[in-house]
Amino acid sequence: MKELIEYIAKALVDDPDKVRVTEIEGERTSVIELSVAKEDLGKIIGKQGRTARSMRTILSAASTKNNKRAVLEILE
Amino acid sequence: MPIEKEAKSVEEAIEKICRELGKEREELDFEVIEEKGRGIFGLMGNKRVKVRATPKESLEKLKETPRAPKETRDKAAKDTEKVREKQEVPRGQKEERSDTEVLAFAKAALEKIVAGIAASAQIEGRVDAETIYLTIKGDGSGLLIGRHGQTLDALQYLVGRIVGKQLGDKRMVVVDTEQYRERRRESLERLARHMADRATATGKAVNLQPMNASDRRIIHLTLKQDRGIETRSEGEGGMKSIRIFPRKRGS
Repeated sequence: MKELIEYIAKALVDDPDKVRVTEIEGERTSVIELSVAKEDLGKIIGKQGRTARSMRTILSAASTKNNKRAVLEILE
Repeated sequence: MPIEKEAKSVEEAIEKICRELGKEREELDFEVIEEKGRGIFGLMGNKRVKVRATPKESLEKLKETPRAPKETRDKAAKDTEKVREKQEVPRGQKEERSDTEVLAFAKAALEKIVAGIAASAQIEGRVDAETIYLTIKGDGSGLLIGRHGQTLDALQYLVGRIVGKQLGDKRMVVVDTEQYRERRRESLERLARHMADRATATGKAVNLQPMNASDRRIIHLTLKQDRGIETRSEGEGGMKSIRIFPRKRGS
């Protein structure tokens, strides 16, 4: 799931080298932390948070399949 | 009133329109409706693009009432402007790509995301002047559709963004699976008619649930011909909701 978010984020930003994704695995839930260059923050959040929301939706579909919950945290 | 102009570049067409109307570009919405002559590898003929301009919010005003407070509107307009400017400026460095390449890229992007959700899935696609259509061969589980199609919409939105960002291609991306879009349209049309009947029968306005823009569009279009009622979108943001008003006799 980490790779999934990493792929999407890198494809959306101006500076893919600054994309960092870490997955903190818990027993039932893992937290995926995403950080990007400051200038790119808006691009992964999107207008009215639409991009971030879409990524979370995709993530929750992925967690259904993997039987494990994942939440996406966007770090500022 | 929309106006169309042809020129060698998008920029040039926009300039022409602004000059003709005596308006600032901030006051207008632009849409590239045709790109000609990019031929084989952009070698053939000279390029012509056709741009259509609509005064901002003229469409909105007709349909989307009541209006938001002015500040929010101005801010929203500015935000759109920023995005638009970035997209409208032809990207000199980026080469024009053939439809086949664009389709292959879009397919690959969708494949990659879908692979992260389900096991690998087969994707078919086609492309026309305005739209890139991608269809995922589903396993019937509905996993890729989600509640009210939200997973499918998220896939569609993200692939659209990725294609726009990576290729500078402004075409709309439509992602479908298991004929969901068609089924959704049919059920929305049924809902629209049912609710319209209720509005006329009771003489009272009927509220529909909040929906995204494309769903609302289907409702508006379904009831457009119905003289007995009127539809309006209300609220703010991505999920406005439609109200159906019975029209008074004779009006």
